[in-house]
Amino acid sequence: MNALLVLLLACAAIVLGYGWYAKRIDRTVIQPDDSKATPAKLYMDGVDFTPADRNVLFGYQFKSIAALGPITGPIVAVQYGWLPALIWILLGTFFIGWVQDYASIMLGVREEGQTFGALSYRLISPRARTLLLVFIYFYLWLIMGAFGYQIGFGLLTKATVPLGVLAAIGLGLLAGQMTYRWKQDIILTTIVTVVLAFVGIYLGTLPAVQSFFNIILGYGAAGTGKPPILFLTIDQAKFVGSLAVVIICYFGGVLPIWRWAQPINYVCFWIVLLGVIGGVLGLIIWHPGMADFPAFTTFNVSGLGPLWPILFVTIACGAISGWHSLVSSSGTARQLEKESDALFVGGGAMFLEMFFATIAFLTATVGMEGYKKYLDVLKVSPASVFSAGLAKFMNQWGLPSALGTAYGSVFLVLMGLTIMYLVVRFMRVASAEALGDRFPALRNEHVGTVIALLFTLALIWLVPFLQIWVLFGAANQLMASLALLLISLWLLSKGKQYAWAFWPFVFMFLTTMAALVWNVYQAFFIKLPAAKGEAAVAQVIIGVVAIVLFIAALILAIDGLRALQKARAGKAAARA
Amino acid sequence: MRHGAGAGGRAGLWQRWAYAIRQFLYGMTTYEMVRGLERERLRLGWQLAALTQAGALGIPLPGNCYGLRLLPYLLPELQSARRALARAHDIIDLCEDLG
Repeated sequence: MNALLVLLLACAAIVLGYGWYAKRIDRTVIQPDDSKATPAKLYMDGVDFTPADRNVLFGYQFKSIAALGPITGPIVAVQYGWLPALIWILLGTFFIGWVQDYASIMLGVREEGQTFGALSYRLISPRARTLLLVFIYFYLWLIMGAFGYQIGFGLLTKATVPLGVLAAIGLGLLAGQMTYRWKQDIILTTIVTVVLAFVGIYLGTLPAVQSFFNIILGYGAAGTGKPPILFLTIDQAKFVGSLAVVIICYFGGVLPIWRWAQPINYVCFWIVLLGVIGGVLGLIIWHPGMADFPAFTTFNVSGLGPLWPILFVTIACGAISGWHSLVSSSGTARQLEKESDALFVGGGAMFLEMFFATIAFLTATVGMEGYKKYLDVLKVSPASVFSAGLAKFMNQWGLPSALGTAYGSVFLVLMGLTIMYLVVRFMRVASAEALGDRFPALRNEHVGTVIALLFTLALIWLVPFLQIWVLFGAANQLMASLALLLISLWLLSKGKQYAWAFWPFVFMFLTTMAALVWNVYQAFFIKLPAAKGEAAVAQVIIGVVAIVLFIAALILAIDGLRALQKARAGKAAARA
Repeated sequence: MRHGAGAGGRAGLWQRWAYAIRQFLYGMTTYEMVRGLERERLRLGWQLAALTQAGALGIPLPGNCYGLRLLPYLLPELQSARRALARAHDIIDLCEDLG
């Protein structure tokens, strides 16, 4: 299949999904009423509740939901063949993805801007909020592991990448200084820092710089050697890469957000945006076919598992993501000016993310120019597939391949890091809140951050990537299914038609619970008996986390279904 | 006449698109930074209000005379302070900052 045809299919899914199905649900079921005051207007405090233009919110929502998830998921999932992956990206978004994002915003808007924690307490049960927090903590830990592995063990172990990343971070700090301290114009700041960041990426590809980083990473000055193993199975390159990740995240976790996270994110945004535009442009110029990439390979991929349920959790944010519901209800819903903006902001951003996931899908299926090369590069990391594919696309309009690969790698590292240090902040605050009374040391921000990062290192150093990713995907999709349950409950309580949210919940819940059971089975019954030492510890970690997530989700679902039954009985009694 | 109206319509359409793209980019880039600064400014304002009006709470920090002189400047923000501070906060609120 030709790449342009895939892009056209994605556009058709957007036109049909957004223009017909979503608008129909919006018009006939939710029935937005612009005469009603939204929480942004009703409780305007200039801080959390502030009305914003729909286009601004659209950009804000998209920025909040797009990270490494929609890139890595499709690249890993095409091991089943391109057809099942493409079908799920398009249909998953069409029937489920936008439903969750949009309905989460409307739920927040109609329930006075309450978060999912407060809503689950009220609509499901008092213990639901605590369980949700436990769930979120483990989920975030898995994000740290999944992203940290790809960056620390994959991208940062290439000698062409570290200088570009360091330059972008340093220039992000300069951007913060120029904006907040020196009060410079934002356009001047942007031009200076982004141009210098590109210079940094270019300098990283020079032989002298590569030679320097090759020595640090243990490849020798010529870059042909093999890094020495330092401990466990960790060689010098992976050790340096993973350590660099936690050091960067440490600063992100403890420094004020305006000093580190915000300005670095700002500079990184432009690097990422220009990369996406450059990639799409090259793809359109090139518009290749899929060569020998198979439409379907097998029902059971070694290292991943059976097509159902694993494919559906592997693609993660490319089709549906639980993370979106948290951002939508706690952030976007409080800034919506009119109810009728919700579909454009929530649904529109999700369909755009689907398009983004399709580009990532194409980097693997057409960018690698063959199935064998795809499998070879995938062994390094899914992120390497993306950077190599993006480089191939950008090469079509003249960007040298070596520079394109370095650019693609820096692009991914920055995309992952911008999420990681914010996740560390959340983990730190969550642990202080939950255990701070019992262990006062956790209230110290340095202690909380270091503990979160040690957990992260344990995951990166011990557990194989595919296992982390599948478990992360399962946690992510399970949270989405719980959000859909909450939405169904809310719709029922308001006497609205709820099947369009309830059946997606049933499908996602069964699929993700099955994925967790598969994880536990694989970890405890297949891999653990054959494992020794740190490999055995890894399987215990995976198995225990899967069990915790399974139990938390099961209790939440049982409570939720009880509440659903109670609400239906109440409605029936009222009718009688 | 019709041609002119069409050209005007096209120009209007371009302007709307340009505006939408500008706003979209603003939402993806500096919007969060602006919100962060606004949040910081308001918090400092509330602290100043609490400090200068402490006399009314029985805490003799500045004299009531100075507090009352500053009151007209602080009044506009008291409502937003009341709303933001009195609202129930949840740890899941932090998820917004993770995006």
